[in-house]
Amino acid sequence: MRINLEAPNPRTAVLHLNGRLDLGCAASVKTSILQAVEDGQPFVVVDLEHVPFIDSSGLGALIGGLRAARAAGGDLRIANAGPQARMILELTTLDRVLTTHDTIEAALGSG
Amino acid sequence: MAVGSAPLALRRVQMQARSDRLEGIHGALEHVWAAGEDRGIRPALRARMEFDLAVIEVATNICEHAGPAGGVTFELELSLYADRIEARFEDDAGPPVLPARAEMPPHTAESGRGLAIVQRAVDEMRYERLGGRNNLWFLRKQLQPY
Repeated sequence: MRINLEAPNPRTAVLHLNGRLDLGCAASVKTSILQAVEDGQPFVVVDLEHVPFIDSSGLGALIGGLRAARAAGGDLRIANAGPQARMILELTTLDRVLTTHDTIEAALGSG
Repeated sequence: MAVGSAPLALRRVQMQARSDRLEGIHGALEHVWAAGEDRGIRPALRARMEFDLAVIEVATNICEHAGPAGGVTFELELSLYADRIEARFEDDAGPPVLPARAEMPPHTAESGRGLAIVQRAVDEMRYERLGGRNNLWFLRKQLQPY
């Protein structure tokens, strides 16, 4: 898993993930999100364009990030979710709390 | 389970229960689906994704109970038939911690979804103890040709 961080504005972090989001990397993805929130970027967009697979460990990292972002007055949104990510979000009904957007721009722009 | 019919595609892998080895399971799944495709088995993408996820969740469960020290090995057998796919895991990890019912935890929970996902993703999930030491997990998913 490769994680690239981008800051389109001072309050927002975009995390570009590359690889499978599973038990092997869930902890480091969560740490990266928490670090961004702690650094004053409570609005987090997680870009899943290059994530072909997510499992329950990966979902746990995203939920942990969402909780931290909301506690800091921000939010965590998903961009570019592929069919597998959409399937697991639907199966777990987490699509009700983790909002997905077709593009990073849409995730940044909404609400 | 149908008796006497041989699978159209079969893949067996033996590996250490470590989270950095999950790659090998993705590889085995891709291999068995590709071998099935060569024999005309083309299940819907959704069914394939759900089965793959269930297999990884069980493997993750075995890795988590094995702990980071390693030393636990397991064998996974994937069998693809014309109408279904099955996975059989056998590990020597000792007894797993099984919740009484695999219910989906609240939305705010960061863990505890694995088994609930498996139950929703496949048609049959069975767990057995073998000889007081080994754990056997069996998964089956029906495939509708399209």
